[in-house]
Order: sequence, then structure tokens, then C-alpha cells
Amino acid sequence: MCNAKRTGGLHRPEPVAVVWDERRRRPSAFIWRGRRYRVARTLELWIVETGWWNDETRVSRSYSRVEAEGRLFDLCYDRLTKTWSLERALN
Amino acid sequence: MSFVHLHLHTNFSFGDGACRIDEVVSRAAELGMPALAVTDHEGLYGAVRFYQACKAAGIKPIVGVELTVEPAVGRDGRPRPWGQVPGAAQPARPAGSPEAPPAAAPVTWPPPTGAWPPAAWKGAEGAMRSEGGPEGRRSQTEAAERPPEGPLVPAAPDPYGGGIAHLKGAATVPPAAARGAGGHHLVLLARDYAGWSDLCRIISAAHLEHPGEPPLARLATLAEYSGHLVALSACRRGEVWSRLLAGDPKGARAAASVFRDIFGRDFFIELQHELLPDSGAQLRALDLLAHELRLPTVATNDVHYTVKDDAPLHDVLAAEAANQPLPNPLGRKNAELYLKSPAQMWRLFGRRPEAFHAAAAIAERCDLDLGLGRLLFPAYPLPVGETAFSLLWKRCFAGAEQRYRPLTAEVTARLERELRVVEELGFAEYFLAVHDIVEFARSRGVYYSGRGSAGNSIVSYVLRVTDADPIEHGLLFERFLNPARREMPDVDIDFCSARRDEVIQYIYERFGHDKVAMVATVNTVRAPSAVRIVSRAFGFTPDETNQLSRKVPWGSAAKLGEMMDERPELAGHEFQQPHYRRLVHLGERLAGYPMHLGTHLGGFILSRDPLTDRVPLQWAAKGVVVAQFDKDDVETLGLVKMDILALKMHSAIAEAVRRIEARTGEHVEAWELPRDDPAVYELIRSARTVGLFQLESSGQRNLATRLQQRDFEDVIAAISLFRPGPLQADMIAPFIRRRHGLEPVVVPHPDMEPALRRTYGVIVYQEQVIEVAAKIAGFSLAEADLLRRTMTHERSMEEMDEIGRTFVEKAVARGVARSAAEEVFRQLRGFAAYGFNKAHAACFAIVCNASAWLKAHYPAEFYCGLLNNQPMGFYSPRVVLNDARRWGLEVLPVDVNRSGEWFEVESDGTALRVGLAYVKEMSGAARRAIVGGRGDGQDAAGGEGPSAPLVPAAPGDPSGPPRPYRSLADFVARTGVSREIAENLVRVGAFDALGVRREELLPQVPLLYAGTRPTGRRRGAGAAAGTAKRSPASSRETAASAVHPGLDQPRLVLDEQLGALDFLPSWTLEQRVRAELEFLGLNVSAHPLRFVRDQVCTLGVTPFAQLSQVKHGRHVRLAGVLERAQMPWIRSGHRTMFLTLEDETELAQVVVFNDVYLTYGRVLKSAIYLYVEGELQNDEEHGLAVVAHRIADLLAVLGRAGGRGAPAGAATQAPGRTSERSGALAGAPYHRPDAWELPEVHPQTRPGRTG
Repeated sequence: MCNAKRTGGLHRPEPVAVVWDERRRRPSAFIWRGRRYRVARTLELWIVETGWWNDETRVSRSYSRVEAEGRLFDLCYDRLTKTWSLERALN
Repeated sequence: MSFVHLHLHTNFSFGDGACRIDEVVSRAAELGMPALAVTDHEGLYGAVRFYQACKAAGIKPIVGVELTVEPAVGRDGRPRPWGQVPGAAQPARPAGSPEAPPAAAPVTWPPPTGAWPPAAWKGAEGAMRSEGGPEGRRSQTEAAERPPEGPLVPAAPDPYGGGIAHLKGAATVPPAAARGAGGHHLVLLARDYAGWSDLCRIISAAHLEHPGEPPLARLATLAEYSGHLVALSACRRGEVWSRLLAGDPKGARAAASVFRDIFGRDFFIELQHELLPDSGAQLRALDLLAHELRLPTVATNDVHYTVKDDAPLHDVLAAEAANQPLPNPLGRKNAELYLKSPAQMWRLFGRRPEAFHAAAAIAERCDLDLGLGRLLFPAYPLPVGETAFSLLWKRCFAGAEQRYRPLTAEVTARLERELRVVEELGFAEYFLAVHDIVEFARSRGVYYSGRGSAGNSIVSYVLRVTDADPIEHGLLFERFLNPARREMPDVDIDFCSARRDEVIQYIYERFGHDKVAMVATVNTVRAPSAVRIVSRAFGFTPDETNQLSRKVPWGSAAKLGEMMDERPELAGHEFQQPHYRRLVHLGERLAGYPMHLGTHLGGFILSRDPLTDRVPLQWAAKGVVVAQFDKDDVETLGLVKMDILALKMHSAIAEAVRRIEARTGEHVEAWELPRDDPAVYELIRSARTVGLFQLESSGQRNLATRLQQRDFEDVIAAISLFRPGPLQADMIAPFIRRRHGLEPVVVPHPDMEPALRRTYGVIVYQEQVIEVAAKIAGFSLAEADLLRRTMTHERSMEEMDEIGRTFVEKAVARGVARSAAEEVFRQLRGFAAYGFNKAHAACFAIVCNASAWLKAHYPAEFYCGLLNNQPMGFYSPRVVLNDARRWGLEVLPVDVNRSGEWFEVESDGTALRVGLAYVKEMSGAARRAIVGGRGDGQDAAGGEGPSAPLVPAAPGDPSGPPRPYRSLADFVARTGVSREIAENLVRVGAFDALGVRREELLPQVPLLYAGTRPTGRRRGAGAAAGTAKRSPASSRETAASAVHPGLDQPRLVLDEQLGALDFLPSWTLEQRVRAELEFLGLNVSAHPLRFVRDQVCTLGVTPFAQLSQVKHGRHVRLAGVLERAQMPWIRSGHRTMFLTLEDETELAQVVVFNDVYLTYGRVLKSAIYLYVEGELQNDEEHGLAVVAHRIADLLAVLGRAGGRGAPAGAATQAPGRTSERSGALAGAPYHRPDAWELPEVHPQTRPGRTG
């Protein structure tokens, strides 16, 4: 899970603050490790939602792969805990 | 911004779709979509309902299918020539030249000539197609329109036009091949009705040619019928996408170009944004492919559930279909396959506007009109110079002359009136077809009787479809055919179940094998199955799953939660734990979901054109070709459906009649018997009606004691009254009270009197509703029938009031007092929905009359008929036989030298001999070997079994002199039956008459078989299958030892030599009865309660035969065997249960009301012998019954709880016990015990002897 190479140096998802553009329904910026990243564009969107039959396995998250400051980031919004995290920071 | 979902799975995708049709359609309408498509897997199962739902919701229905298609690209990555079958050898043709023109490929569907179904449908062998197909599309279409030449009957004489051989053929194919060597999905949408027909033909071909799972459509078939279809490349399991996923973009392009060649501009690359991690990349790859090949794209969402919250249902169904617990075996990662709004779809496809807009554009081009409302009758071949109507006219009047002597003006006037309506509605051909079928049955002596509203018609009567005279019984034609409503007439006919196949065979031949198919039934999720499905999905063990589902009553799954709260037997149920709440909740949402397609018991579609022009066909179990539609769908499409039902009672009556003629020479015309025979009504009034058609149930027997039938009309009334409707409306009580003068007969208006005279002013029949409405408000009969239909359906109060106002105004205008008119309407309103169709009851009453007449005059033959056609009726054969004994017939035990294959009449009609068929493990071949081996021609005496043809028995010579069996060894040697059969025969005393005790014979049986090897030949003579293994050596050997199969010679005289077993104690009567119960399912020597007779007497019980002499209201005690438990209806929320108990003397009826049921209901689950205390009802108003106050297990009351651990041999399976869970039994939580044990008496625990 915490393959540091795959996650671009991240050892575990880290909490981030996200600025949400409601009109476009996209993150427009996020703050990670004290630095603000402006989202240039969103490349992919995907959703993971499964395990509903058991409260322990239940997952409901939506992911955005965004380009910010020339890097790729996978932002994750957990709908159950209503929190954002950074899952991966690529290249 | 308009968007239409073109790829959608309803729950008719059977496991891969969870949309409820009505919900998804109304959601689409709510989202403002102009149209919606249905594309279920492999069929149009839900299409007709979907079409109707869309029409009702005001959106355009688009019908399609997601079909599995053979690969378009071969292993070499090049397009395969069409028509080539995966895995099939194709030596002659150069493998896979991509340029091969489609027209050159052999196409064999539909078959140009020859037998139907075509050879290509014959399972996997059909894969090796003939090369002689016609060339080119045009000629094939013409060929399809030509009637099939050559023999209409398929090579095998199989009434279903195919037979099980195909399925067997398929079973020999390795599963991988049967699975289509990797077929791929393809979505096809019908652009118009021609497209619908194309879909039907393609789907039928895929199923019938390829009976594996899933069916597989050939490219050649697609090519032939592509003209009116739109094709989409489908999901990840479509060939294009799956090849991309597999890293084969070249193959994907090749596949796409094959479909482009087939469908031209109507082939679209389907883009699905499932919001999965790779969705973006997948879409780009598909987009690129479409761009390269200049193919248009279209956006879909592969909808599987209406709203996101329904995704768990889809998961559960998928788990069930895959037979794997959750997590989802398909690896579904999110819940995005729901009916998204146009805005949501735009958000996903905003960057691909052409794909987004293509969806609505395709929808625009689809315009399917199923032409609902037209009626498609089967063609009837007419002689030159006749029209269908002229021929029908002639036949009707010819029939009338025979039915009515003398022919009166009333008859001809009515006949003319009905025929005029038939002509107006264009039904003449239909009636000719029905007449043709029943004439065939009559000519062959196959017993049949029409039932249902067809009995309202004099046309049916004179054509001998039905047998109740509509004039005599006041039956109204308008109830059957309403000139104001051009509706498909519904004719149901019961045929002798033993010979129904002859009729079915004839229908296929008469109307053409390609024009006849069976109607499907859709089996839906009920409460127990809902629990099972969800439990399995949750990964519960089979034990746990059974535990959970077993006690759940057979109700609607939607009431699962309610049942948990209300049903007493579920009070301690595991479901009450919160842990299962999720399960119950999901189970409820599965209510009514289609589970699988079944075959209707007797529904046949008869069509004018080849059925596959209109209906998709597929194989059902037993090798029957079945439509993908149920009877409602078939009716909606305007196709003729005819119910060719099987009725065991007809077989029983036919057998009785045959036996009477054989014994006495008297010829009985069962349907022409007098309807005023006093013996018949005396029998019915006595309530000893076991075996009588329609009057034998415990409820009817109770009703007989109250109603005291005096004539035929009373029998019709009895049949009508004990029905859910009349019971619910509580018609019986006023009917009985008025009949016995306990309350006055009053009608609100004197004009009602003629119609209601025979029912004492109570509206019992639907015909009476029509008549009263016509009389009071001045409607025509047709209008009055419309009113009745209107009132039958659920209506809101306002609607009903509105109907009432119109009715009252019309009546008042005719001079009826307003108050009277209002009261009439109040009564009509109360009874319209509950009345029974009198014609149906009258048709049944004729069969009932025949059964009663036979029981009254030829009981031995009648009981033989009943016992030889089990399972049938309300009671087990054990009770029927005991009833025969109570009727004064002697019951003779099984005897190898006297018993026939079936029950036989002996001693000039005063005795019944138990038939060999009742012996456990007995096979048909063994029976025939035993009877045939005696050579006394016993089997020819009319003991023709339910369906057994009279085949000469294997050994012995039936035509030679009688050669009775002299000993057990002689018997075994000559018949070669299996050891189990021989042992069972010994146990039930079949050798007693040979002079050696069964106690001594039994130990000899193993010795007799000690030297034998199971051989193929013995298997043929009825040895238990499975023990026999064929080998060339053994078959040679058996040929050589035909006389003494497999036995060592010296053992032949074994029982003569072994005389020294006389020290073995004789079986007690108790042991004998136990053996009879176990190995015959009957008690021949004594009733099981005989063995506790003395003890039971000490309890102060009343023998059932004496109950009628006990005064009403007295407290009584009963002890009996529980024979049946019924919970026929729930009135005002209270359960009433009826128990049928049997003691040595009679049957008795026990009524269990709700509170007693709640307290003692549990006893009924485990006890076979019951002890009941209660109050006797015994007067005209209540009839004869005991209202239970207390119920207990008789064995417990007798102080012997030791019966449970009875010896292994004491547990018995009675034959003919099927778990009937239909009709009145539905909802009963009780199963009749299958295991028998005698009430054991241990001397030390006898109450009399304990100190």
C-alpha cells in the first residue's frame, strides 16, 4: 500500500486542504505541507465505492488526478469521513 | 441538452441488472428524457413490459438486446469469414481471408427447407452446418417465407419439435466450447418493427443453435438480419473493447471493421465513462480507434440500476448469478452504473460532444411500433369455396343439432347472435382451430373438458369445447366475448394428463412446428428465495442459509419485515436480531424480481407466421422450445395463446370408464351422465367426497354438510362459493342462512329476483353482476360486462362513486327508486370483484358429477383410477385407500402372482388389489417383467398406468399359458429384478401366498443375489440403476443366460432347501403395517391408530364416524393422523386454519382460529398424530367441524415421547407426496410430514399399567 515509489515519495496519504470550485465541480487548489498548489487542470476522475455490506469494509471515495505546479497529484475525497487527502504525488 | 440511455439492463437480465422496469422508466421520464432503451442480456424478456411502461410514461421505448456474438476476429488477428463456427474444422476453405464476401458464406438460418427445427439447432452437432444453404440475402429471405417442405415432424417423434436429444448433444460438448470459445457482447437496437423481427430471429437462432450458456449469435445471422438494427460495440466484454484491454489494438480494429461491414453506418463505438481509474485512458483508446476507422461514437452508461442506492441490489444479484459471495465477483469498484441525468452525462462526455449527441440522434431514428391491439390468429386451412365464417357456421349448426334435440328457436337465435359477434370480431378462424384440436382429442378418445369463461358461449358448447349448456344454466356470452372489447378470447382446456402429449404432438403437426411454441413463466423472488439470495451473497454457509430461509413463509418478499413482526412461527426467528436487518432490508427490495424463466404448464402460442418473426424463442428444460414472453406479454402482442392443461382427474375417470367396460360391458359416457342421479347428491351430502373432483377438500366437505346439495345448480354453487373471492366477501354465511330459512331472502328491487333466485339473493356469480346491472340500470349485457370489469379493478373511492352516480341516475331514469338503486349498487360494488365465473364452475361441475357418479356406482373402478393416477387431488394415496376401505371395498395385499402393475379390481368389483407400482424402488421395467413373466395376461386387463404404454415385458411370454411364480428363487430367476425390489416385495407380503413366511424369505434374498453380478441385462429388467455397469463381457453373458440371469443354478431351489428358519418369530401386525407404510406408503393390514386404540379410548375421544351424532356445541376430544393443514385465507387479519385428521373410522375437520393457532401452532410442525380438544359444530349453519381449543401431540399425551428415535426402518416416504405449495396452501407454514412412524406402545409406559 505504502509503496513510496508508486506514491511519489508519499509514505501514507496525507491530509490536505482543498479549494473546491463548485461551478466546475473540480478542485481548484490545495494546500499540502504548508504550500499552496494551484490546480492547472484535472486529468482524470474516478470513484471507489464498495464494501457496503459491512461497516468495516465500506469505502466511498472520489479521486481527482490533477496537474499542479507541473506535477501530478492524486487527491482523494473520502465521502464517509468527509475529508480530503493526498494519495500520491507523482514525478 | 437531450440525452438518451441506449444501454440499460433491467432485472430481466437475470443476475446482471437490477432496474425495476416501472421505476427506471418513470425516472427517465422524470429526468426529461424523450426515450429510453432496454438492452437485457440475451433476450427480450422484459421488452414488452418495458414498451408498455414507456408508452404509459409518455416516452419513446427503444428495444434492444445485449447479445453474445461469436468472435469477429480469429486467433490470427484477422477477421473471420462469417458463418464459420469457432472450433469447427474448416479444411476446405482458406482460413480467414478478410476479403471473403459475406454472401459467399454458408448461412443456414432460417432453414431453407426440410424439417423444423433445422438441423442447425440440434445442439452442438448443429455446429457442423450443411454447406447447401442458399446464396445471398435475398434468396434466404424468400426461403424463410416459404413454408418448410418435407416432413413436418422432426426425425424423432417428439411433440416439442426438437426433444431432449439436443440438450444431451450439447452436454457432450466441453464447457469451453459451449461457452462460445469466448463470445463477445454486442448491443443491438431495433429501429422499427422489422428490426424487432430481426432481433427475434437473431436471438432465437443464437439460443436454439447454441443451447449452451450463454447462447451465441453467429456473424452470418447478424449479417442477414442487420438491415433494421443499430449496433453498439458494448462494454468491456464487447469484442472491440476487450481486445484493447488485452493489448491487441490491431484485433480491436479488425473486429470493429467486421461490424462496420455488417452494420455499415449503423455501427457505433460505445463510450462508457464508468469513473474507474482507467476510464480516461480507455476512452482515449476507443476514441482513437473510432477516429482511425472513421466510426461514429456514442456515449452510454451501461445502466444496471435506477439510482445509486440500488447498486447493492445489483451486487447481490451478480453474486447470486456467479454463485459466489460478495465482494462482487465481477470486481465492481464503484456504483456509477445508474441512470444518470443528461447533465451528469454531459459532465462525463462534455469533451466528446459528438458521442453525447449521438445517443439522442440514434434514439431519434428508432421508432418501434409493436402494433399492440391487433390480434394475430393462427391460419386455419379451409376447403375450397368456404370462408372461415361459413365453415364455422356449418360446424356450429351441425353441432347444435346433436346437442339440442329438438333444436329450438331460442337455441338458433342465440347461436346466430354469438356467431355474428364472432364474425364481427374476426374470431372465426380461432374457433375453428380450437374445434380442430378438441375434435382430434375426441376422435382419439382422449378425455378433455373446456373450462373458464369459454363455457359462457353456446358456440363452445355446440363445438364440444365445453359441456355445460349455457342456456340451461343462464350463462352469458358477453362474459366470454364482449362485442365492445376486441380482446383475445381465452379458451382453456383440460386434457387427460396421461395422453395430453398426443394432443400436443397433433398441435405441432397441424399448425406447423415453426408456428407453435410454449409460453414462458417468469419465476419471481418470493420471501424465502429473497432470504436465500441475500444470505448466499453475504457468504453464509448453506446450513445457515437454509436455517434462515426455511421458516420464512411463501409470501411476498416485500413483506419480509412485516412477517418478522407478525407471524407467530417467526417469533423466535434469528431475523429478529439486528445483525440481519440489512439482509431483511435487501430481501424486501428484491421482491418480485424475475429469477429465471420457466415453462408454462400448458400455454401454447399458435401463430400464423413463423413465430420467430415476432417472438424470440429459446430452449427450456426438457427440450421444449419456449417463447421469451409470459402469457401476459403474449397476449399484449396479440398472439393466440391456448392453455392445453393436463388434468389427472380426466385420466382417473378415463381409467375407471375403461375398467367398467372391461368388467361389466357397460359403456359410460362420463360427460353425458344424468345430472339428477339421487345417489350422486346423497354421496355429496354425506360429505364422504374423497376423490371427487372439486368437492373433496376439507373446506368443500365442510360446506357440503352445511349446503346439503340437492341438484346440479347446488354443485355449481358449492364450487363457486369455496373460492378466495366469495370467501373474502363472506358470501357463504348469508347463502347458507337464507337457504335454511334462518334469515329472509330479500333483494332491493324485484327486478333482481330472477337473476338471484337460485342464490337466495346473494350475488355469487359474475354473470349475476352483469344481469343485475343490465336489469336495474338498463345497460345492454355488453355494457353491463364493461361495468363489471371496471368495478373488478382496484378503483379509488372517487372513481367508484362516479361509477355509482352514473348507475343510479340511469336506474332512477328507468323508474327505480333512488334508495333501491343505491342499495343495488352498494351490493354490486361489494360483490363485483369477488364473484365467481359461473361458466367455469358449471364446466367443473360436470366433471365433478362424473366423478361422483362413478364413486357412487362403481367405487372399485373409481378408486383404481384415483390410485393409479397419483399424485392428484387433495389427499395422499394412503387416505384414498383407507377411504376405499371405509366405502366397503376389501383391500388385498400385493401378491406377485395376482397384483398388476397398478391397482386392480378383484372379486367382481368388491375388492382392490394393491399394484406393484406402489412398492418402493419399483421401476416400470421391473413391473412389466413381473407381470409379463407370469404369462397370465394380467396387464392387459386395463391396468394401464398413468403414462406407461403397454410394452411386452422382457422375459416370459405373455401369450403362453399362465406360469405363476412358484417360489422366491423362481421369481428372482424369471424376472431378474433388483435385490431391493425383491426385498421390498417380501417385506410387504407379496410372497405370503406362496406358503413361506416373509420372515423366513427375507434372509434368503441376499443369498439369492450373492452369486450375481450386476449386469446390463438386469438393469433393463429393472434393477436399480447405478449398480449396473455395462461391459461387453457381461452383455454376452446375459444373452446366454436369458432364462436365469446371472444366477447360479443350485440356488434356484434355495427356499425349498432352507426350511430351517421356522424358528424366526412372525412379524406382529404392527411390524407389518410399519413395513407397508415404509415400502408402499399405504397401510394395508390395519390403520396406524389401531395400535393405540385402547389407550386412545381411555382419553375419552369420539371416533370421527360418530361425530355427526353428537350434539352441536358439545365439547369433544379427537385423536387422529394429521392428513392436511390448510390456511386458505386470512379474514380481517386473523388466520383460520383447517386441519384434516383421519382416524380408523373417518376423516374429521378441525378449525383452528388465530389465538389457538398462536398458542399451539408449533405442535403442527412436528406431530403426525394429534390430540385435539374443542367444541363440536354440528348444525345446518356451521356444518360438521370441531373448533379446536387445544392441540397436542398425541404421542406426548399418551405418555410416550419415545417415538422420535424410532428404528431406521420406520421412517417412510409415502409415494405421491409432492410438496404442493400452490393455491389454497400458499401461505400455510405447515408441511405435511414425510416420515411415518407408528405410535409406539412400550408396555412399561402404558398408562393403564403404571402405578
